[in-house]
Amino acid sequence: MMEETERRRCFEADIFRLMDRLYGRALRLTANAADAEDLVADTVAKAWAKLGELRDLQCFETWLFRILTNTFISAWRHRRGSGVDVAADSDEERESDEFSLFEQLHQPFLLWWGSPEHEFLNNALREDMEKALDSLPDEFRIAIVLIIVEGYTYAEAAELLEVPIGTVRSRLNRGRGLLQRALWEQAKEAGLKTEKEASRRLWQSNKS
Amino acid sequence: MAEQQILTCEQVLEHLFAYVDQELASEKEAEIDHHMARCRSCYSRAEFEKRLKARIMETGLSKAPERVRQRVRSLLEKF
Ligand SMILES: [Zn+2]
Repeated sequence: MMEETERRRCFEADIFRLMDRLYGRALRLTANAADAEDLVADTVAKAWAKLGELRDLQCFETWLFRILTNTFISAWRHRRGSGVDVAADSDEERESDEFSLFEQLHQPFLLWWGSPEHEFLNNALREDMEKALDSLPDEFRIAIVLIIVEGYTYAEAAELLEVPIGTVRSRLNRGRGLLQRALWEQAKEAGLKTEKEASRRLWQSNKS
Repeated sequence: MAEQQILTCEQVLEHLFAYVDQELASEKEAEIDHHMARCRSCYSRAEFEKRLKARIMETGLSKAPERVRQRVRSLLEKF
């Protein structure tokens, strides 16, 4: 049996090794810095309390991130309450949520010089991505974070969220549409006011 | 080997996200691979979704502020 101090030293080393990933995921899940900090602290406290239950230390990372995700989901569910009828709970895909940046950008008048859609993604800043993601309604953001950021499968996300897999798929796909629309709106706000201007900018960035 | 079913672009786009997420059954995935190898439009679109996905993935790593590290450090001291 490992000495208690040795056990704590290992735990501490692992936590700090994973700190940026813990915080990063917490920040995407909660979409705000104060809640992300609380979530990281709660996760560390829970993980320490449950460390004895972890059979295989090789699984520490997976186990730790699952605690983070579960802690977030139960707090979110609690905060949201059961009576609140959110728009996202009607899970049919909606026309208005279907938005494709690719279709928006992949147009003949832009195509003569290359791949405007790739240029768009190359020029999008990380903070643009974060802002667009954080702006999504909770259900959609959470589906995207669980599957794309955290790398859970659809089935795992369904289990974590306690919803059918079809609900996860629908939230993820609608979330992607909404995210692409948000990125497009942000880009327009940032100065790409018209498609003509977008084309001129892309042309200039391509020349440099 | 059995002749693969020929999918239309519309059918491919229906499964595009699941394809990009590698969530399709292997048979369906093979049908889509087959289509992608011959259809530039669907291929470009899949490439775009993959790149966008990679950009989203990047947002999951953030330098934890010193305040958080400090908070966790003092929390661990109490254990
Ligand atoms: Zn096609």
